[in-house]
Amino acid sequence: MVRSNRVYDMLGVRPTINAGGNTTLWGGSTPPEEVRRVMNDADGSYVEMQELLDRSGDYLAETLGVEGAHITSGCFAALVLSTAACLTQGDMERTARLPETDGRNEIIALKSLRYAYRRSHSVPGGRIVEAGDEDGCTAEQLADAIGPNTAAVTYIMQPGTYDTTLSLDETAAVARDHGVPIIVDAASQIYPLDHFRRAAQSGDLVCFGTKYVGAPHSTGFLCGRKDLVDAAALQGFIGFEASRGNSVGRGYKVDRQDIVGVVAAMERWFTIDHEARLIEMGERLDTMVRAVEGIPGVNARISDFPGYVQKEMLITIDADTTGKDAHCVSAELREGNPRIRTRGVITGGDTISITANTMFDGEEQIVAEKLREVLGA
Amino acid sequence: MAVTGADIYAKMGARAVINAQGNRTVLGGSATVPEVTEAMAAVNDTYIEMAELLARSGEYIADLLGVEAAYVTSGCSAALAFSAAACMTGRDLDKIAQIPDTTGMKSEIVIQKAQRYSYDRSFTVPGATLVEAGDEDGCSREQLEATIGDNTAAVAYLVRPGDPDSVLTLEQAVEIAHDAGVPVIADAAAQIYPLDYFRRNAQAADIACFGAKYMGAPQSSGFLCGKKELVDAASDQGFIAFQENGGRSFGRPMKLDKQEVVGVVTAVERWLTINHEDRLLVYEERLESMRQELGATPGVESGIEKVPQYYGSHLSVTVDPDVVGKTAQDIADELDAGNPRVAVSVVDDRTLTATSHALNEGEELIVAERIRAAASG
Repeated sequence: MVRSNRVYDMLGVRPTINAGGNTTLWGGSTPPEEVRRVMNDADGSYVEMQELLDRSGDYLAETLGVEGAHITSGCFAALVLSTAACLTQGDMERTARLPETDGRNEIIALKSLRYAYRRSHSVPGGRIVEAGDEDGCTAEQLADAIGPNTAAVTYIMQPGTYDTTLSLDETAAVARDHGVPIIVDAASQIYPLDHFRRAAQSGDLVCFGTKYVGAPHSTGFLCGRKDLVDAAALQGFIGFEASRGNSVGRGYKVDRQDIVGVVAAMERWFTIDHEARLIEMGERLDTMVRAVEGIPGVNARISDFPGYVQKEMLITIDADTTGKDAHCVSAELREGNPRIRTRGVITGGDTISITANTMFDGEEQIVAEKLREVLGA
Repeated sequence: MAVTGADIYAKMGARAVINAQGNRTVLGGSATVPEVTEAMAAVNDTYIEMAELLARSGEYIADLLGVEAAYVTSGCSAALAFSAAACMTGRDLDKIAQIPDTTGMKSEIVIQKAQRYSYDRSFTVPGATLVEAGDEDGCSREQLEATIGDNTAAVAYLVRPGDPDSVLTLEQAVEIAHDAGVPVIADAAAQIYPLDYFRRNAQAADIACFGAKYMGAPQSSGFLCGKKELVDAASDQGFIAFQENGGRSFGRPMKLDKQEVVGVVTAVERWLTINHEDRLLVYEERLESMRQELGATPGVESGIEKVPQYYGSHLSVTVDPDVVGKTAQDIADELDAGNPRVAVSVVDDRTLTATSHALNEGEELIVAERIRAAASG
């Protein structure tokens, strides 16, 4: 809910209605009341962080049906720590030397699945080696890329199928045949719940962001094979002591409140009524679609959106009729008062995407009115 | 009965700790002070442009401390890693994308051998190598001058009370480094009191790094501050810059919540305005209660000692193993195993210390009773 508050006012920063999802750039998440309450309670007492990390990891592992889990300062941190785990395998000497390695530092990635977060593998000293080409990758191409210096294979799980690119299961099978661990980026693959569990079980180390389930923005976890999860934990900010001051992730700090927040958010995610959650989001989108229906040059509709959000609102704008194009509309929303952030202009250049999962009750009315105004209703 | 932090932890199988050790990361680092808790709660439900929040919060902190610029980070170690990266890459996007591979960059960080410490690992995480100046006992001006060379990216300095005269002071190190055209990174983690000392530390080097947990912000928060050019280069390495520079920044995993950024601003502002004499008096009164409680225990002597730290004093407890039948470590172990768990610091066989700044009101009596019981039983 956009409301003024002392510190934002003092700093001169303007809050934003978030009609664009759990984006890091806008603060990622707003933990629900149940989560915040336990975080506040946890703030009041100190705890052995090692014990808290161990127990919270046990809880997540049990919930997801995997051997081990470790809470991190987000999904990217989970990917870095996972990479470091594969580079060091818990060895103290190797840990102390990172980001230098003994040469066994290759992380095999499918060329056709390039994305920005691959940087997580080079941060602790890994070197990306690509398999296949832009259009796809076969099992043979992947097998050829794996060699004596391969530390891990990595895979980004994302919606949509690619006939020409190996599936996660196929990739994992090739890695397994070569005795190489697979790191999976499953950041927001958290719904449906059986999909979440399958994703968690799909690799040797699987990484998630937990802002998507309502934990604080700067949280996530990795899970999977116990020995590798332990090696990853050793690279963390609490592992710094156990690794005699050598872990690469000392800067990846997490508060005890955050850890408790992840557990509470996961408990909630596995027990809430997801149909009701999705219906509520759908109703918000309906409200906004109805508001702009019939405006000349504007076509608004609800479309399927893969993943835990499920639906988005698409507004296609005919600039000749409305007198302004989609970029202009998006900028006006961003510069207006209150500031409104959408998912922005999507491929094609004439369509704005709006999601409702990060909106608060009533904000759909504000966005609806603003859209009418900007679109010249 | 109200739910407490201890209950939350117990539910997860972790035991809360009464913390007489202080702001230690392994125990959770800090409990946010009420002003900070409140400010953080107030922004939970408002999304914000994180880039704007980081920019404005940095300006605000810089003004408070009388420096050109500042940047909030996920703790002091993160700040050190960013600083090292900034001194190697500057604002060059290719170099930012390339680290920890430092080919083609100045990548040596010179540190006085007598100042080597576990957190100097933070400098090597982004790929720098440490080069020692002087020996275990100290470092002369000439030794530091001779160690700085063509490949020196920065000189690192650990600000701490009690270094011998044979170690160069921060001012001397800065003078020598600047004569050689090299910046100085100061680790001033907890060097925040008295306030004029805090400001001097913030202003003395080219970049100074602090932990904000010591001021009542969340444990996973801190900041760096100093020369604008270097602070900007440091923020280029951060998690928000990553989203805007095509995924280059190595610091993507060092994530912060909007709540935490607001918490740091609030904590620094508060720290510079509260009545510190009152603050220290509260700590001392608690220590005095502990001392009195322990008063007549056979074989146990205790006294309040001044320490050159932001918390001012601690209780030193000397046990005579011949009378008590236990060493200080035995007693600390009993306190750790007991219920509630109590954490004190062991100095040697006969001495343990307890601080009171991380205790909740009333816990000082529990700590004292437990020490007495352990020493009497």
